[in-house]
Parts: sequence; structure tokens; C-alpha cells
Amino acid sequence: AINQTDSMMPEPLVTDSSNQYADDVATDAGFNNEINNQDISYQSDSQQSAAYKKASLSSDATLSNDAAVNNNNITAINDRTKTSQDSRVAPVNTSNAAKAGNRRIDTNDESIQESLKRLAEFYELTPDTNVATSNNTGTSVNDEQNNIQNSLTPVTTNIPTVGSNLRLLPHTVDSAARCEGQWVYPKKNPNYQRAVNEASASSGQPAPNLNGLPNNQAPLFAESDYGYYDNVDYAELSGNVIIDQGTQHIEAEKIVLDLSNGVAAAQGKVMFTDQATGNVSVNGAQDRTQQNGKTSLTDKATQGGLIGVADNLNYNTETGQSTATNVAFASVELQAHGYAKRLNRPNESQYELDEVMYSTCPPTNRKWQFDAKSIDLDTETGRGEAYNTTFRIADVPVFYLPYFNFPIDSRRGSGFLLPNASISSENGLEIDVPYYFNLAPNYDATLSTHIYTTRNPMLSGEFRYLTENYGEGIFNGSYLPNDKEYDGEDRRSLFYDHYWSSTSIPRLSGEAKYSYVSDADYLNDFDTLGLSDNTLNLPRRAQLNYYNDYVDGELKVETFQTLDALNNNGQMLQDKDKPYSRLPQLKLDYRLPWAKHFDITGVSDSAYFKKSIDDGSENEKSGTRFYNKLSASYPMENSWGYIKPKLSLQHLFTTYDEDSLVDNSLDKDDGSQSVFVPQASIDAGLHFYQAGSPFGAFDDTLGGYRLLSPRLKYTYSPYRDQNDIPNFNTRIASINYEQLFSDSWFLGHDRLQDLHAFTPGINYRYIDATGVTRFDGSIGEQFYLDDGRVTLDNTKPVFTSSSSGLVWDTSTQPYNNVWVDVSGALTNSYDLNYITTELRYQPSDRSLFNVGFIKRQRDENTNQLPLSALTASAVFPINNNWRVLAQGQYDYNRNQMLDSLIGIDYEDCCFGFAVYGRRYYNDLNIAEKPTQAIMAEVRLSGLGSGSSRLTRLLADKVLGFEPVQNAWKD
Amino acid sequence: CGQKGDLYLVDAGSKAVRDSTAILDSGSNPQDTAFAKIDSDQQNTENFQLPEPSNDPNDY
Amino acid sequence: CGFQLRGYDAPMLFDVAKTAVIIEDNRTAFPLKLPLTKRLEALGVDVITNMTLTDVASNNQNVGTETIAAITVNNVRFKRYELVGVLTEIRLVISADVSYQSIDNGKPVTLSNPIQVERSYQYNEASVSTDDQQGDQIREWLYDSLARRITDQYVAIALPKVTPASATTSAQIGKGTGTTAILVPKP
Repeated sequence: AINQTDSMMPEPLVTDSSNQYADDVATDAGFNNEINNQDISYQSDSQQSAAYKKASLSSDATLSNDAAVNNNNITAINDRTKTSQDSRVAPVNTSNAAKAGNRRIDTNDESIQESLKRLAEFYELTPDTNVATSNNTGTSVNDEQNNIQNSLTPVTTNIPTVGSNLRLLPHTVDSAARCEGQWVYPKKNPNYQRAVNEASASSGQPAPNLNGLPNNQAPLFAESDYGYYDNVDYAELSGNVIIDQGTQHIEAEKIVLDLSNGVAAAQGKVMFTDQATGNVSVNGAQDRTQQNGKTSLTDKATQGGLIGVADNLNYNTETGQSTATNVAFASVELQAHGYAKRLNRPNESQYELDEVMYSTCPPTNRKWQFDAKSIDLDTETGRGEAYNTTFRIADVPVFYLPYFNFPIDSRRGSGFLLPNASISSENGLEIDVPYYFNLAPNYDATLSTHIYTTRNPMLSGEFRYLTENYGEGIFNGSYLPNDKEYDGEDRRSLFYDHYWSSTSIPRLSGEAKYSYVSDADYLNDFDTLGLSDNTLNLPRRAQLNYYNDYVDGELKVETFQTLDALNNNGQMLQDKDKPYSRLPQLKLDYRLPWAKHFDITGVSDSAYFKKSIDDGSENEKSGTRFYNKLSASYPMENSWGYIKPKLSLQHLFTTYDEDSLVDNSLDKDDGSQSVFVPQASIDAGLHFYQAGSPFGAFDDTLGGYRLLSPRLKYTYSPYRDQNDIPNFNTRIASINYEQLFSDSWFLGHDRLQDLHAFTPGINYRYIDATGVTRFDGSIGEQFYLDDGRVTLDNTKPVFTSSSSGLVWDTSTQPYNNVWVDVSGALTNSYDLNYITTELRYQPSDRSLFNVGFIKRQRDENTNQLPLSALTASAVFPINNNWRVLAQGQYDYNRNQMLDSLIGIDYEDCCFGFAVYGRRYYNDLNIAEKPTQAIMAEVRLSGLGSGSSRLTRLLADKVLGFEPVQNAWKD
Repeated sequence: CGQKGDLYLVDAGSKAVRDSTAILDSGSNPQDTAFAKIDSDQQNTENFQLPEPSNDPNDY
Repeated sequence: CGFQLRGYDAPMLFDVAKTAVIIEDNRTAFPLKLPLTKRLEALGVDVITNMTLTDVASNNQNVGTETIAAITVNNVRFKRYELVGVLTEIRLVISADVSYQSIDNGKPVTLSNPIQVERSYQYNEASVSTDDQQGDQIREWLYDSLARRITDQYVAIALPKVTPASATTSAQIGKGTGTTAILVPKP
């Protein structure tokens, strides 16, 4: 609609009466009228500019009578001859806007089809480009970081990648855009610029620069076959009329401007837009911005980009009101289009549309659409209201809403969010209907009702807040009264997270967390996606963190809700099985920058561990522990080698608290122990270098260089008796290559290991010419000179074997889209201790295959328990719309598929849906029968489809899923 | 229907001053978000042993 | 077999002496700074840690000043994949988007790519202390491995290049050219 702000046209009507335009400009390419319904034969850009015959428009040309207005739905502006200029004109109302009864607009109605066809002319079909699908994914991610560098430094060349992609799948899916085309802006009249230049040249001023100039100050240029202008306030143009002002562009068969009483009317094949592009060759609308549901209708529409075709358009220059009938409109920003029997725009910020159809699907194949009797939009409030709305999929009415209030920009708005449905063996059919309360800019609430066929409904609510100085937090609670499936008990949960970062001290931050569930099965019953990686002990803590170059500190208070579960003898968990609370715990890692050549570092961990034993399952062993370690090392390092001697002193002081003294009938002195353990170590290694690839095999393809780094570490720390000191949070580390070179096998500070060992190891790396690590392998073994005497719990001796066994770790990237990791260990009697391997193959941007295998045997030293599992996941498109997603975890020991998911996902230009099923075992009780759940999601692009549960589930379970998902969405 | 979005702080001139961090990211399934956040470390319960599939330690 | 002590007799001459390491200042990215700085300094690189990308760019623009190379590490993040079951396996993955900006015989060159390192370890919800110490320990090693991958890549970009033709046998590359060089395949 012409959004002419000020009524008077500032510039004199630039008529070209003064000079003759040569006819050669006219190219006879009128609109191609016989566009049949389906195949919109579209002319290329150059012909799109409507042909116009240049008539010499002499200033006193009279309106030839045959151009009398023959369009019967002429508005209230009665047809006036030029003599009776002063007759008052009735206010603009369209005579033919018959108040539509509740007649549904029938889109295959002739006149509607006609308008939609005319509109579809601005839907530029994209030629089916066969975009090469296989660009390698490994290297050269050019994010904007890269562009900044390029723009600043002169000519920066990108180092080209080396290596190739593995191509197993013969046919790769064509990833051409899913929409047949996209809405493009109409072009400005090419003569506009020339006319403006000539007009200003003839009046001596410099030609104004058009872009950036607000439309109402831009010169107005009108062009038509015939024109009448009484040089006062009345003008009439007819026959291929084109008016341009700034980026506004209007075409019609006839336009009447009556400036005395501020009425302008355009009739016959009216086309209007407020974003005509300047240059002749339409460089295509912006590429279809990804609809992330955030930016919406008028947020974009107000930035212009609206195209409309109508039978007639009337504009009241005084009130700014405009009305059009039989309007087909399209928003280039939203890539959406629609039709309205009548469009009325009372003022700058409001639209009233009657008998409306709206869809973000391409005009060539409209999969879904909204039909409404009327829609009112208000850009001030950012809200739209639709009355008697029917939502249709492929012309089948799916649901009907008498009233439907929806957001039309990215502002938050209260109302129902997208519901979702699922069926599971636990809950039967489940429908979740969330309702959102936009309470204030910095806090809001979401209330969801979950309706189950096998249980009573559950109410779950979320409250979020953001404060100026006290951080931000999120509550999530739920309540299900007397659950039939859980012998009538109430089911409740509460989860709370708070995060704070200090504004005065930059690196100081804090967080708080609280979790509560009413029973041990709550998570298994209601977390159908398995996002919570079921936990036995739900954390409740408050924590402060600080870090800088010299210290990394954490102060926390923490306790847990332990869910009652059965232990291996089938008995209920007792107090002794519960975790220690920390009331509080302070951990500090620090570096003292005093001595230049010495590296002085320290660890300090002080905590009060509390676990009250009320059921007599054992004597309470709560108390306070102070652990400190101070190390000084003198590292000598350069490019070819290093020697790092290190001396440390560890001190552990533990004292029982009152209850524990009583429980164990100890007096104050026996109840506390103090141990000092010194430690000495030398870590030395060499780096051997050779340019080129292993055996010269890849010199021509990958090039690069190789590194061979032998390493030897000797560690000695004496034995000090400490086995009856309580063990609050210490375990033995699991075995891997790096662990062979660390100072102690005891993680947690309740044990100071007596380690007397030396560890030889060797690492071999091959790095290609662009620096991608193609092979990185290490192998080593730790040899014990004395038997270990420090144990976790006084019974089983550990580290009494002569060596740790051979341990290796390798990772390779043989192709740019294939990664293989294999790591493992043999026992010192050369049986298998463990092996884990993971293969990841990415045939194209949009597909991904992972296969992982884990086999761990029992290992006394490190408390390793047997586990044998195969994991696999696959995400691959079948064609441009359909793709299959699958993920599974198979347990060899129990010969059970512990977790499996299979899903299909359909994505089209304006519509998408996914159906997926998951079958999983209860973490805490694998013996129970598995739960099966089937879930479905529907996505309508442009209508706030929000985050999809399937994507969240796969991102949580499948390594490398996010980039594949982004590539699929584009 | 409604529309959920990020929280933000406004200054006197009601101009958005600060956005919320990722901790507040949540969509139309708030309970999913809560479940995903539970993960935390587990306390040492030494004698809570897992059910042993078989007694011979290395028979797999 | 052609391996030489790195930089022992054939010195490592980087095209650019000074290198700015630019890492985001947040709790996840910060621990990468120390291991990366130490590894680069061990190779003889003069590391600067208090410059931003725009400082480097503006420095490199005005003539006469010594050009500075830059290693920018963005989006350092951990991802934890856990199997179903109380006795489970956790795969901990560190990934970062790393961009390098250096000079290759006089011409500014740049390269950006994601780097990812992963470790897998057993995790027993039942018999492991609430602090996932094994996870914390592995995070430390992952920071070090990521620092090593970045350093290895920087070396490949910043050292002088030789093509297979010019080096008769790879053994001589070290001695032949008088400096430690990288073999580059023919474009």
C-alpha cells in the first residue's frame, strides 16, 4: 500500500511532457497472460519490465474520452471532468467491499486465481542447480572471524585444504533448495533514475542520491500512456501507469490523483510495492533467511518487502488510510504470500484483511494455508487477531478456531505454545499443551498440562527470572495427583538452577542447583527422551568460582537426594550407601609466580564431609579433611626435548566429627590423623622431527611432517600408613596412556599413593601440510619397582603387579571426512584389559555414521567392572525431503538393546514433520521391561516452530550431530 | 498462540540492555530442559555393587 | 632413518617471530591458555597473550612495525556422551574453532578449521564419588591434547615450505635446507 506519509507530493509531478522519449525504449513484452495454473512460465528478468508505450504527454493533453473509466468498481471518487474541481469528494470507502458473509473464500474462485497468478509472477523459480554436495567438512570453516581478518589485512589467501574425501555412497542426495523458487522484489522503472537526473539537471541542482532517501522526500516520477494534469491539484493518468517514488512503485491501468481533497485511486491490474529494487537486473531477493521462528510477520514486513496486486487501490492522502480489494500479497522477507478480498489500512500501523488466505508455502504448490474470515494486524502491539480461522493441509480442513490471537513479530506474547503428542508404554497417549505467560521483560512463566490416557493429568510449570545484579534462574516444578500407575501416590518434582556472575569482579561467578523428585521411578516414567542420563543421586548445591592466571578456586556447599534403589543383593539402599555432603568444600589450584625458573604450584582441598547414619548400617565416618600439596619443578624445555625434575610435599589431615567419634567410640586424638608424603619425579623426553609423510607414501597428496617423541618418567613417593583414614571421595583412576605419566593413581585426596615406578612411552604423530593431524599414536607401560601398600579400603592390595600392562591410544583422520579412534590396554600378563574404538564417517554435509565398540574386562587395580557395548548411530537423507535417523546401544553382556531410536524426518519448503520411536531400559533397574515411546512433531516454517525434541535428543546422544542438522535445515 | 523468547533487562528508556545466558534456554517443553540439566556427579557408595552378570570375572 | 632432533642442528625459523594467542575469557576456554602458551614457547615462538584480533590487524597494517601472527581459538566447548546404564561409558569431547593468521614468504595467509579431541572412560554412577574426578582429570588432558594439536598445526603453517621435487630424499630435507621445513604437496 502506498504508505505516503505526508499527503502533498513535495516534488512537482515529473512529467516528461517537455521532451519526447524515443519509442525505442518500448520493448513489447506485456505480461504473459496465458500463465496456466501449474507451470508458471516465467520470463527472465529483462523482459519483466512491463512494456510501455511512450506517449508524448503534452501539458494541455485532454483526457481522451475513450479512456473514460470503465471499471465499475470505481471508488467513491466520482468521475469528474476537469472543470468541476471544487466538488467535495466522499471519504474513501470502496463500494464493492460487500461485507463478506461467512462465505469461506474459495481459492479456486476465478478472480482470486487471477490475482494469485499475477502475484506469482514475482515468484522467481530457481533453476535446479545441482549443488556439488560433497564439500569436505574437515577444514576451512570460514566464519566471520575469517572475514574480519580478510578485510583488515590486505590480500590474505586461504590455505587450500589437502587430502580427499572417502566416497562410499555412489549417489549423493541433491541438496538443491527445497523451495521451487523464492519471492523477489519487482524492479523499479528503469526510467526513474534517468528522469530524476534530467529533472534535476534541467533545474540546475545535482541529482539526488536515491538510496537512503526516505520515500516521501524522494522525487516522484509518473509515466503512462495518457495523462491529464490541471497544473493545480487534479491529475489523471491511464494506460500502463507506473509511478515511482524512492523505493515505492505502483502500476495500474488508471490512477486518479485529486489533491484538493486528498484522494488517490488506482484501478485495473494494480501492483504496488514499497521495496522496488533499483538496479535493472534483479539480483534476487535476499537468500531465504533461515526461519528460526524468531523474526516474524511485521517485524520483517515493516522493513518493507511487501508486494501486492489488487483490482483497485484507494488512498486518502489526508488520513493516510488506504484500501484495496481482491488483493494478493507477498512478503519477500517472510517468503510468505496470501490473498484478501479486502485490505484496509486505517493508519500507519494497522492492517485489516477480510476473507484472508495466508501461507508460507510456494504459490506453485500450497501444502497448507490458513483461511480466515478476517485478520487484524497491529504493528504497534505486534499482535494479530484472526476470526473464524480454518487451517487446511492440502485443502483438507484440519482444525477450526473461532478466534486466534498470534504474534506478528519477535516480541514475546502470552498464549499457547506448540503442543506435542507421544505414545509410550509407560504413559499411554500423552498430549502436552504448554501455555506461556509473558509477565515482564525479565521474567516469565510456562504452564504445561500433560494429559495421559493411563494416568491422571500432570501440571508442570516453569518460572524464569533475570535480575540486574543477582543473576538469573529457572524453576521447574511438576505435580501429578494420585497416580493410578503408581498405587495412587502423588508424583512431584522440583528442579532449580541459578547462575550469577559478578559485575565488579569480572571472573567471579556463582551457581546454585536444587533437585527433588518424589520417587525413584519419576525420571524413568516421565523423561521419555532420556535426557537426564538417569542419576542415582540428585545434586543440591551452591557454589562460587573464581579463576585467573594464578589461581582457580571453587567454594561449594553440596548435598544430594539419593533415590531409593536396590543394591546387588536386592536390599534397599541404606544410609551407608548415600553420598557424603560437603558442608562446605574449598578447592584451590594455584601457581606462585615468584621464582623465574621454578614452577611453583599448589593444590589445596579443605572440606567438611557429612553422612549421618541413622539406620545403623555402619558407624558414621564424617569429618573434616585438609589436603595440601606444594610442588616445585625446574622445567628445562626447548624444541628438541625437555627434562622436568619436580619435588612435592603432600599433607593430609583428617579428623572425625563429634557424631563419628561417638559412633566409633574414639577420643579426640585417635579420631584425627595427619600424614606427610613427599614425592619426587623426573619427566624427560625428546622430539625427533622429519619432514614428509610416513614412508613418503603421501608426500604428493598430504605432505607435512612427522614427530617421534620418546618419553620416560620416574616417580617415587614413600609409603605412609593411612589405610584407615576415612575415604570421602577417592577412587582409583581408570587406565589410559596419560594416566601412566601422572603422579598418582588415586583421584580424590583421601589417599597419598606410595608409587615407585618408571614409565617409558613413545608418541608418533604425522601432521599434513595444512597442519591437520592425520595420525597420533602413543604406547607405553608403567613398571613398578615396589609393591603398592596404600589401598582404598584396607582389604584389597593394589599395584602389586610388576607392571601396568601395555597401554596405547591412537586417533587418525585418513580422509577428510573419516575419523577413527582406537585406545586400549593389555594386562601385564598380556590379556585384554580394555579396548574402546569409535569410527565416524561423514559422506556429505548432511549425513553421518558413527560406530563405537567398548569392551572392558574386570581390573582389580582400578576397580574397573566388565562392560561390553556396541553403539551405532546414523543420520542420512534419502532424498531432499526425507531422511532417516537411528541410534542404538547394544549390551553384549546382557545381550540386550539397552537404548534404541529410529525416526523419519520430512522437511519441505514450508512444512516439516518427524515421527520417531524410542525403546529404552530403566537405568536404575535394567532387569525391568523396557519402555517404548513413539513421538511426533509438526513444523510450520515461519510460524515459530521452536526447538524440536528430536533434534535435542539426537544432539544429546549422537557425536557430531549439530553441523549435520544445520546443513539439513539450510 | 503465544511466543516464548529470551529474557532481557531493560534500562530506563526501556531499551534491551542485557540478554539471559544459555542457562535460561528453554522452549515449549520446559520439563525436558529441566531433565537435561540434572546431570551431576555421583557420590561414592563403595559397597553398592552393580548386579554381577556372572561370577567368573573374565569370562566375556 | 632420517629423524633429526627437532631444531637441534637445523634451527626452527618461523616466518613470523611474534605470535598473538587470542582465547576467549571464560571458564571453559581459559584453561587452554597455559598449555598452549608453554608449548609454543618451547618451540621458540615469542607468545603475546594480551592482544585482540583487531590490535593484531592494525599492527600489521602500519608499515615498519614487525608483523605479528595470530592464533584465534573460539567456541571452546566440551560435550559429554553417556551410555544408558548405571555402569556406563562416557565419551568426553573437547572441540574448538581455531583460526591461524601468518605470513608465508611475504604473503599473509589464513586458515580456519574445527579441531576435536576425545577420550572415553568408564563411569560408574553407583561406586564413583560424586565428583567425577576421572572426568576432571580427563578434561585437563584434553586441554593439553588440544593445545598440542593447535601447536602442531601452527608449526605446519608457520615453518618454511619445501616441495617433494626440491628435496631429493626426505632425509636431507632437514640438513639440505638448513632449517626445519614442512613438505608441501605440489598444488
